[in-house]
Amino acid sequence: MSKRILVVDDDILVLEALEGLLKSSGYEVKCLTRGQEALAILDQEEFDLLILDVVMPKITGFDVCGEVRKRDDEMSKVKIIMLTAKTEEKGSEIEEKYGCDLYLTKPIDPVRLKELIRDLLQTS
Amino acid sequence: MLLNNIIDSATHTAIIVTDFDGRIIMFNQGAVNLFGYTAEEAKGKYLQELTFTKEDQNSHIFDQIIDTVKNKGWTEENFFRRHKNGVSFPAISKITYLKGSSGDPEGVLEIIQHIPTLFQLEKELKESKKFLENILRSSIDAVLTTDTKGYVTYANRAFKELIGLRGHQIIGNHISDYYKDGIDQARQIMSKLREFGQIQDYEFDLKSGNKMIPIRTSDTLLYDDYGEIVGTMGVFRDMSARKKLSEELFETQGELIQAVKMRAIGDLISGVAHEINNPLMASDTFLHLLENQIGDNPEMKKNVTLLKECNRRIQDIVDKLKDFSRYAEFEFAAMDLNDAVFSILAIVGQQLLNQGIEVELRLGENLPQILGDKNQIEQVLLNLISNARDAMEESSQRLLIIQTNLNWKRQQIEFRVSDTGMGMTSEQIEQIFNPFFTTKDFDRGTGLGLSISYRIIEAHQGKIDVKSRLNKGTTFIVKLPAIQNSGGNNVKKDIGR
Repeated sequence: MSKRILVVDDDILVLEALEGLLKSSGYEVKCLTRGQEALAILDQEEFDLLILDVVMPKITGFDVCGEVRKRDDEMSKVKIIMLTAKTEEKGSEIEEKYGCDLYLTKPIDPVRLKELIRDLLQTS
Repeated sequence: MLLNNIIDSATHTAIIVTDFDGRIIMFNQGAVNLFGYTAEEAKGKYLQELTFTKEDQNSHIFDQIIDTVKNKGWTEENFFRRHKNGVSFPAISKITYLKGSSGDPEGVLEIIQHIPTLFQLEKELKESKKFLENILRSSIDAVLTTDTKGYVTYANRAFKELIGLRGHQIIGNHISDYYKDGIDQARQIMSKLREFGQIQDYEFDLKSGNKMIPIRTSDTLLYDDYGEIVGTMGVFRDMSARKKLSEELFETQGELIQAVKMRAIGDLISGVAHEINNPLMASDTFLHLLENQIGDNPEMKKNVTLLKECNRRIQDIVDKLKDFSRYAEFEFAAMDLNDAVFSILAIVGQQLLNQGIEVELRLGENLPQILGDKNQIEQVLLNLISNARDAMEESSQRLLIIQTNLNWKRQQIEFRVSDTGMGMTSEQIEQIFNPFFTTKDFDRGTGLGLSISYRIIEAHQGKIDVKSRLNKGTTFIVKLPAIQNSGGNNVKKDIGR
């Protein structure tokens, strides 16, 4: 069974691009544009990886990440990649603060992103 | 009684009453003062004997006076009189009949005043001249007069000080000697004066030896009693201090505006860069997918490669923009500016040599350290050196000078990067630190290097400035605060060429 990935980004272009990239790599992909939709669907469905844009209206990627980590139990810890177009913060500090696995800056090379995702999902 | 009081109160006017033969009846206090006799001494004596000179006593001058008074009723006389001590003096007197209560003449009344002598007039004239000269001499503004031909007839102390040449003879020199533009300027001023009668707040440069002093002057024509023009008078005010102040003010204002502008642009750019990142990431990803979909079609593969190249360029620009807008991330530490120069030369030195550029180092020894981000300072040096290199591409002489020194007074480390390149116009200089402003060809620069350098130096509490002359070259001057008391004494460095 293929791994399931939820991508949340308010930029439709980014969303479609990531959907294409991930599907071509054989993942099952679900795309959403709002943080609240993500929290809603996470009540019902299970995913192996969340890819969250940081800056979104109302509920940000950080909010979603924090909420998910609150709900997580130790056994089924979902992987989270945060994507940001901002550059001020240091990735390692954000990763520690919000409990995400990777904090990446846009634009990220698609080949490299695929490798990172593959490595992340292999360890689980 | 009251009348006597009044008469005696006239202490500077002699009032004497005689009978028709000249025998004195009344001699007031003024007469006592003027002639030296007491009233008691005078009474009963002949006026002629007491107050006329010896020569006039023997002539019939008194009789003539009495005749005139008889005919005319009064007379005014102007002749020398004599003091008790024998000294004669010029006096003016009015003589009338003294009428009694019946209306008939009962005696002769003479009112006499002393006329100041020529000597005294001269003395008074001198005093008044001295007073006026003192006013002129004490004037802070320089005052100068000339004759109608422009030759100096008077110059006050302030003017001499303005010119500043000790013992320098000014009177008799031509005014154009002190004008920057010489005789032409003198003619121009004179023709204006003839047209308008005066000139107000005219600004020009006054020549003082080899120096030029900015002056504000007001000039007028001088007339004599008959309304003829006899010369000119100019009042000169030294504007050096004020000019310097206003220049400094202007400069500070300029720096402030520049700083505010850069910050606003920084915020804008930061926003734009972030906005571009999203579509750029999407574009990169779509291209990657496309590349996998088109298979081996060489034509399409080439186009995709070119598109990727476009994206890479956009990415480059965005990265540089981020560098520009990111200024909070400096890591400051004590560092040696000269070390940074050597680090950068290790990278680009050979390249400069290959392009026929001679590098001259004028590095100050034992410079205090600065508090800086070494990478960022090196980035500034690299930018300035790259610019110098590009500016000299067309030059026959290619000399790059890197200079460092301590400005002791301001406790600043200064470094200069000078080239012998094409230089810039003042319009270009004005824009040189603006993002995206470039004088280079499209493919040579984004126009961000200097704006980034500006931001870096600003973050170091320093200043960056530029001086340039078209076709001569350009010098960038960077000033950074020195770390106090580091002195460099313990960090002796061997600085060679």
